Amino acid sequence: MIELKAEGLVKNYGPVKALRGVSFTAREGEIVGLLGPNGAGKTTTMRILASLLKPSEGRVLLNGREIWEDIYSYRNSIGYVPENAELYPHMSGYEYLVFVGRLRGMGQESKTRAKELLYLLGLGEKMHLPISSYSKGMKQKVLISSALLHNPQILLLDEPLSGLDSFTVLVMKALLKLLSREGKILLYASHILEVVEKICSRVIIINRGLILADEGVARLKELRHHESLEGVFKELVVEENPYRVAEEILGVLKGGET
Amino acid sequence: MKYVVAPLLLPYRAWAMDTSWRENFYFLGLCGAIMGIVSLLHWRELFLSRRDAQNLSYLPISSLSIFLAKSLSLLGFVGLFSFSMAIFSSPLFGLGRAKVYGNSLWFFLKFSFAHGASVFALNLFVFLSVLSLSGFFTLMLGKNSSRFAVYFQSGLLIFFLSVLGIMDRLAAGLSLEGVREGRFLKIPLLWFTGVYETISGINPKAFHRPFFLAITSLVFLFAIFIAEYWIFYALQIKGKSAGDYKAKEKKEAFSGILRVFFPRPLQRAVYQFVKNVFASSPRHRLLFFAYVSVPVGLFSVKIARLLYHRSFSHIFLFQFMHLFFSW
Repeated sequence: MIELKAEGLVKNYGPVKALRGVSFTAREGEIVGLLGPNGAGKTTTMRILASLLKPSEGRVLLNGREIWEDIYSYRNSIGYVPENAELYPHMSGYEYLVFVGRLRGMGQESKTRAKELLYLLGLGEKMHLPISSYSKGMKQKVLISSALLHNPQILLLDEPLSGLDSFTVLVMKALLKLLSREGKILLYASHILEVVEKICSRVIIINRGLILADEGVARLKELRHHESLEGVFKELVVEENPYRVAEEILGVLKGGET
Repeated sequence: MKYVVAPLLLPYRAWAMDTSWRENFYFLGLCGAIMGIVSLLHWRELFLSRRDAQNLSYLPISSLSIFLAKSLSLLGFVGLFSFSMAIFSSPLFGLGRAKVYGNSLWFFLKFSFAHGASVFALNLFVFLSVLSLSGFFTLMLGKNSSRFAVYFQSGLLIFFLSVLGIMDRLAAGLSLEGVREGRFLKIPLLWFTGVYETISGINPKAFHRPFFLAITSLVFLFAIFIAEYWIFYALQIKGKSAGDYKAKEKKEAFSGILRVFFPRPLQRAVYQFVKNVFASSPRHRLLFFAYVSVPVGLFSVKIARLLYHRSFSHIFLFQFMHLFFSW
């Protein structure tokens, strides 16, 4: 049983405390949703799990072993889709995937797999064009392909559906479920409640660097007596009444009329 | 052949064998200025960027591998550039000197190599200097570096263009006695002429100190590059976003200053619009400042020449315009 464990993660950016003791465990076959408003600490958590950042305190363990003890083997077992990626603009999508595949030690196999993935994600005709000419959604497809390329055991997905067309979104939702059935660990960070509710088997609600809830989606709704995840989220995270804020915005708009 | 080719290469004076080191100095000045301008154009790609960090840091490759790959690629860039600069001039310098000091293949190869090595060493010096500055800005300003560094880049561009304009005067003012007495040690270009003379074995005593300074400066600059690289890596892995919060505070302070100069919202809006037009991307900014730099560079040269009480050189104008339009 593969197990990814975050233990007491604290991250300080100068005076700003981005994480204040985040702990959770993700097991194989689970799709764990990391849900929270902007600035909650989702991306920082993901970056620590992706070994891009070192926490100020706490540690990340894979099967009981701290990831930094054998970082290269850990990095080989993860696929990561960052929230805002700056790909190399002069490379084509295909070249980028082959480049990443080679750095992962895949050799010639990276070429075939890159082509197949790009075709399946609808980039077949444009795979040899430079990334600088790609739209946001196309870049996102390249990123997703690069995360899947080496068939990793753990997938860290930070807002992976942003910018994708509706067909690819459907493909991705189905794919994530299939991957979880294959026994992979999936961590899915997002602030879009509906997607997390539909895809994830378990949800971690995070705000201001603290975990507010960590349960299965159904159990969480049951515990908090809500019919949807939106209700739970409002109860735990939202401090202001959204309807009142909406009314105020409308008031501003009406006041601005001359 | 030398009477035909040499004046084309070094048009401002006739080929004079006993002052070959001065010709080398002049040639190095041109190479250094061109290398500097080319490095400035590649400013953003020189040092490790956030893009490199984002694309490479989570892959199973060591930071040492990334460092070595980056260093080798930069060295390869300088090497190729130097090769293209020295491929024609090295045999010419070799031929010229071999004719005087020993008409043999060995001397020809030795002198050619000496010239090529001095060109490479100087280009490396200029490149590493620009690289270190680029690294410094990246470290100090994080993702805002490209916005602010452009002002500094413009200053450097003016400097390199001015160097092109005053090289002939500078070379004419040198003397072997002055070099022996250490009078010109403040001119980095001369350090690399020291490389030429020391490898050639012609004036090793006179050029011993410049040669030593050339080697020391290269080691020093490379050490700075390594230090900056590791600091960048350490900051990335510790999370550099702290810089962003500081940048936000600076931005707020700047908007306060802006209100003093442009009290009316319309004035601020016009200022923002004009600023955004010129600064919409690093390439826009560099292009804009490049056009500003050219007249400023010309003006600086004019002032420098007035200080020398000499008239403006037609050769400089020709070289400068040729360089500018071909670029």
